[in-house]
Amino acid sequence: MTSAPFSAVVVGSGVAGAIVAKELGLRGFRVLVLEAGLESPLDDAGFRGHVRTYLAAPARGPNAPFPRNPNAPHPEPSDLPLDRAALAPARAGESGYLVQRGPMPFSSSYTRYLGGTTLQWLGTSLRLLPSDFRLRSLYGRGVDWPLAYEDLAPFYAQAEGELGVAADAEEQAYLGVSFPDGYAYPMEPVPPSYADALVAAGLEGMRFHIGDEALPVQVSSTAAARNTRPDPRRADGSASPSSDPWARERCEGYASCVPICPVQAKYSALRTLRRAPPDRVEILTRIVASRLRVDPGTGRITGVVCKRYRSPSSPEHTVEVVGGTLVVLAAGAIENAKLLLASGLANSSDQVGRNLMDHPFPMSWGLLRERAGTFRGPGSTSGIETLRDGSFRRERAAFRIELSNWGWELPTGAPQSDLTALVDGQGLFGRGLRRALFDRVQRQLRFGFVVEQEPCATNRVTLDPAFRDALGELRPVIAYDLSEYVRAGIATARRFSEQAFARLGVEDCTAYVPTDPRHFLHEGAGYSWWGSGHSMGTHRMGGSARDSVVDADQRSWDHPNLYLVGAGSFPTAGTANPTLTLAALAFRSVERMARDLAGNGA
Amino acid sequence: MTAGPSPGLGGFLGLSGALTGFSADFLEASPVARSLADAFHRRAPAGIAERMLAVWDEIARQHPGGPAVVEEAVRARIWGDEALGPYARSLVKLWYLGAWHHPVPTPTPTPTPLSAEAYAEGLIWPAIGAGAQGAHAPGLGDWSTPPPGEPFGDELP
Repeated sequence: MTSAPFSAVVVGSGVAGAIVAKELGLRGFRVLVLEAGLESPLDDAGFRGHVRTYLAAPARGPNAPFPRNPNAPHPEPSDLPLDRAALAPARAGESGYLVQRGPMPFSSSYTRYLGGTTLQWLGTSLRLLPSDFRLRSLYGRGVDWPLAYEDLAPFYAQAEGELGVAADAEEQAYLGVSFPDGYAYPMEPVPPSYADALVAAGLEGMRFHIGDEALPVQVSSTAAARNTRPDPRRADGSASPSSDPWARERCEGYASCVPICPVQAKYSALRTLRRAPPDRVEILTRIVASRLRVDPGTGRITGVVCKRYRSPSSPEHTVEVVGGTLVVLAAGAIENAKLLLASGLANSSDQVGRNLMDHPFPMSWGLLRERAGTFRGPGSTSGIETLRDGSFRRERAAFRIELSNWGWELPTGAPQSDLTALVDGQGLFGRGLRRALFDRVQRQLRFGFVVEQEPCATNRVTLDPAFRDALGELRPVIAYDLSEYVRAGIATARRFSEQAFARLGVEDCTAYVPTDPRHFLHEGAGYSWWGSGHSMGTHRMGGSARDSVVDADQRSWDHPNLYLVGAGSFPTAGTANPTLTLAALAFRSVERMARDLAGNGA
Repeated sequence: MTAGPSPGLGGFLGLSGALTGFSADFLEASPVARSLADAFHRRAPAGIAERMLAVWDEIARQHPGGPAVVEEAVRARIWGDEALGPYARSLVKLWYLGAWHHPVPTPTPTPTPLSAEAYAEGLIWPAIGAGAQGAHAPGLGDWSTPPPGEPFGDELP
């Protein structure tokens, strides 16, 4: 294509793509957004259709409101192999979307609908620590980022505004995280749960030893993109009750943030898409980016070859080519890598698809001595952030701890599984059943550990022509394992649980399944873990074209008009849930894109 | 509308009350009571629902006393009955979870949900002292307050 009609074509409508599209639109550029999945209605009435799908769903996984579309499939928790035999090479790809090569299954899902995975995320919006950007320099692990915390700080503030993060800056200033004087988040902190207060009181004064460090254990309120009440100190006028766009979508305690908030109190990318100027930002759904075209002389991306379908129930489609001065891939770490590998582009470093990371999420669960008021409020309102950094990171992964407000929902399927266990296993009915159920669920406590995963070149996305979806697009083939560094971190997290449970008087009910393909032995003890839904690292940023895919602006080293945005750019994972950081990076990249476009006369 | 059970629902509500631990009056107020009764009759094998209700009628006539006596009779003649017991368990799950669980020996891996409303009205929520996730909103900050008290107080044996 010689004349590009759009200043930018953005592939993907999740938080990164939505921010890029909206911000470029507000700067006067014409933008085309391509979403492979279905349109999640932007209006409230339409959104309620997804809520009803969830309420009537047989299983309540993160994608329950968003049924899989064969023309733009996404991974489902139910795809996960239940035993090692299911990971045998002969059975690769026989079910699900991801083709799992093992030795462990990549255990996270994402969502291919307008708005992306923010439709079903929890909303946790923590900043990375300054040390997370310098893991190699400080601890000899992984790599350093090509930018520092201070470089990203102003964009964190922008992202916190966009997402409407609820937090208290003083409480979030730990382990080197700093804010300008008088900094206020847009929203007042989410009130901590009754259970949070029980745990905070019980762990008061605890110190946890890792190596020769005695780290303080402190429960704090978790920053979250969840509407509470506007903080009157926020200087941008958003606190005015009459004009505040967030106040109509205030958290009311539906206790279903994952997978869907019925009143959209939790940020999703739909909110950013609604703020995009409609005359300059065009959004297409049901259009799958299939290949990128390149001018071999200049290296510039000249077009995106797309497959456009009408109905998810038929693979019938037309092929179209769209072009823009800039092409921005914002389809998530796995889909971005898939598109680049399918196109054979941007990979002079041989890093595309490599260093796939998640936050392995081991859990511990038990029964408190008293009622905690479970299954009320957001999924988590507090955490322990004080173990996220220390010299122990030379030998073992760090972690943050998420306190659950929904009891054992994630590891056991509570409270429904408690009912069936009491009826079928203990033969209870009538008032005895009610009393036992109340007692068992009310006292449930669950810790979850967001464990740092170090980058490994062999954890990677590849493609295999044998595996395709309904439209003939290649399915991601994934090799995945946990290194000794990560396993040691998981073992340390478990040791923390044991000490904290003892201190709280909690009866430990944690039970890992040895036949689970994620189960492993470490120094004689068995451990297991779950996925966090945080796909990261497949197009890492770095300081040189030799060993990274994009530069600090998320611009491809190989193709000057190609940007790869999202958590795929993370060189290391840190222990913060990635959305806020990838949103901040998107804001930062927009500055460079706007300069590119201005220079181009677009 | 006159008060009292709908025609034909009285026995079902009494039986359900004894099995679930909620009062028949509480169950009668459930907007899904009728659809649960229909589902029970439709999904249990022919004759099972009728037999269970007939046994319940006898128990109710013979034991006008307190719930503890009734529960022992239900345990002996319904819960512990080889043919009726498995479907009594399915009926409890239907009320609590709003979904039909086919009984052993081959429990369906995924139960069949009746409707979004049956999920939201499931007894599991009042039983655990919480609102139905995704369908009930007590308001900002409700989760900071102390948890609810035990059901029945000291009245249980």
